[in-house]
Amino acid sequence: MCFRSLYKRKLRTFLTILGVIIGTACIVTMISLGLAVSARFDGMIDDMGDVTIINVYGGNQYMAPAVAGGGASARNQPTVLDDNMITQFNRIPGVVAATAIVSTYGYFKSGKYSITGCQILGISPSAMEALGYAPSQGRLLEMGDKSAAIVGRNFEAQFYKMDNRTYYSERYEQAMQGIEIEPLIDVMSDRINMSLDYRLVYSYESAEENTTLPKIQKLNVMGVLESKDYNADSSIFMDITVVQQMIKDEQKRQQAENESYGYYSGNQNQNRNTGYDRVLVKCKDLDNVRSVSEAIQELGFYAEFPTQYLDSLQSMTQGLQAMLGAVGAVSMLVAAIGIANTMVMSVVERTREIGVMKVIGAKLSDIRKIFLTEAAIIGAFGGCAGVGLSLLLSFLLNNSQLELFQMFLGGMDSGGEKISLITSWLCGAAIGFSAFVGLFSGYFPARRAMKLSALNAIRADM
Amino acid sequence: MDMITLNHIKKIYRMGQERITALKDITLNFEKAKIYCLLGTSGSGKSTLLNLIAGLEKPSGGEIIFNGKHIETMSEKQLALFRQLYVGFVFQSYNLLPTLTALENVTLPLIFRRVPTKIRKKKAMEMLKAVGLENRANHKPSEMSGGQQQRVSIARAFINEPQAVFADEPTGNLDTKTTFEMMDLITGIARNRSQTLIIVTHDTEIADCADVVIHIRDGEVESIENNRK
Repeated sequence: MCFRSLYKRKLRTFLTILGVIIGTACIVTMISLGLAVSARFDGMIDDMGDVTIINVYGGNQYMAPAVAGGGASARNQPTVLDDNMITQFNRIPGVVAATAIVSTYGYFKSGKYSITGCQILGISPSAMEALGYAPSQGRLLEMGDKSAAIVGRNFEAQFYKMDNRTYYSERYEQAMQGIEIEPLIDVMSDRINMSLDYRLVYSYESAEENTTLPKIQKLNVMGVLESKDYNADSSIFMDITVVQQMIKDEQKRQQAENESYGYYSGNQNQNRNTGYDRVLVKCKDLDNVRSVSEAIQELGFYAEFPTQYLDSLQSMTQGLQAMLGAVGAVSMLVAAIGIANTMVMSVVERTREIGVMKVIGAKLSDIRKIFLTEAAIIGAFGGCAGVGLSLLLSFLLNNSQLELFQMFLGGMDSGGEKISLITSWLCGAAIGFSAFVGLFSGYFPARRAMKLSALNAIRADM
Repeated sequence: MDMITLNHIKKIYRMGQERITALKDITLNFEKAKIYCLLGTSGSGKSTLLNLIAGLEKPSGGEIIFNGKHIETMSEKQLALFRQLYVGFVFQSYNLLPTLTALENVTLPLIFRRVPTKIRKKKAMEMLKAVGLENRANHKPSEMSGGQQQRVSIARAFINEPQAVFADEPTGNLDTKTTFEMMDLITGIARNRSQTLIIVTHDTEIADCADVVIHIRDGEVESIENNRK
């Protein structure tokens, strides 16, 4: 019956529903933009790898500016990132593990395949598991592993056959995109030579007689890591003391070589007492990260963690989302007024009908129900169509070639990402909400209908 | 046995500052299963009297007792239930719902009484048959003549098997031939089912169909005429 009386006033019903459609589509599209942004944030956090790790940097250029009060005496002395300090980091509440990291670049060769530069990370074996590294093959580093190395997932992919035309590994590009590739060598069993000197792989003809030969050592791979983050996947891990020794040896060799040419080689002791360049501090969870990093800064170091810029970015997008939501809310309000107007007109128009229904035995609640149902139908219909419209809009936005528009809405990320994200709960909530708006705005007209005097209603001239 | 009793009924309308007395001190009895006619000229107060008995308006004074219940003190809610259970209406201008078919219009009172769909359809069809409109069941009011619309309206008034049916100028919009058909129909059904029928009219010919004719003049009962002794 409700459907029929709505159908009888097709145009008006349509216009009212149109108002609801626009309102709903507005809200849904706005929220979908916001959802897409937060989804992108989640993705960004995922890409960051382990978000509970803080990078602490030593060295004077990273010194934190002096903060008033507390630990002033400590700051008067040069802050050195040494083992002593790492023990202090370990005592900060919320810290699971702290380890120094030294890094250098190495060259690798296995048969006819080479790697021209790969990061070697020196880490304390005991901290590896706590930092979240897990082996997919073999094992992790253990105490006393002198020549052992653990390699990242994409280490093998960096091998390529060097010739005059090929300067990089195409397999590595693919592996970084997550494509499964056929291995060239078996890292666990094949012999791999390693050196910090480029001459391991680049066979330059050298006429110089004084050159000391590069130190070459065998790489003893004990395990392959599960995929963790971009950096870890491409690196190899060794005991920190081993890597430190390797760096020292290489420096000595270079110094000797330079001196043989008569170059000034600087102060040999420049590295003394400067401690480690970098320390990794693993926190219990994301909530601890900020407080731990503040504690470390108190000690006079520069601490950096992946999510530190995310907070301000997130509050910015929340503001944006609130603004978009407000625009949607205003259009929904207008739509609600539209429904109320339509229902009031309907009540006035059907005064006589209402009177007749009352006289032939309609209860007050029956009358109210009729008008509320009509209003709810308008709301729900508008809601459904509005969701449909916003799905279409969302599809257009996601597939549009309008670069500028994408840049404006998409912000920091390049293409491929969704600009608008409509989840099923959003659809459901939108339809429910618009039906509710319909009911709400239909309530007062329905009350009015209910309160009409039966006799006056019948007498009303139509 | 008296079914409806009116005791010293008064009705005064306020029109701005003026007070218009529509009914002055009316005392009447209506018996069960009889056909009454309230006869009077325009403005005599006959329609007002009908509206009072049917619970559509409240009297300014006096009491209306329908089946032992005081109507004048009932709330809107109670009145709705009272109308649903005990009375039926036939109007001069039919007052069918334009969006519904004849069958649906007849069914409406049963819908409000929450009668199950199957039963109410069957009952409505029987009622339409009784008024001779079974082949017009799916027509809308706009597709029917005045006489046919009034038949639908009569079917709707009787479908609840009310104890009393009120008809306010039921033939006012009809031609003479249809008027008599309609009167035969409505009185026939009322007599068949031993229901009380109260007709309001200014037409003395219609009054001839009634058992008791009550002449109303200037808000007072002028005389009561018993046609069938």
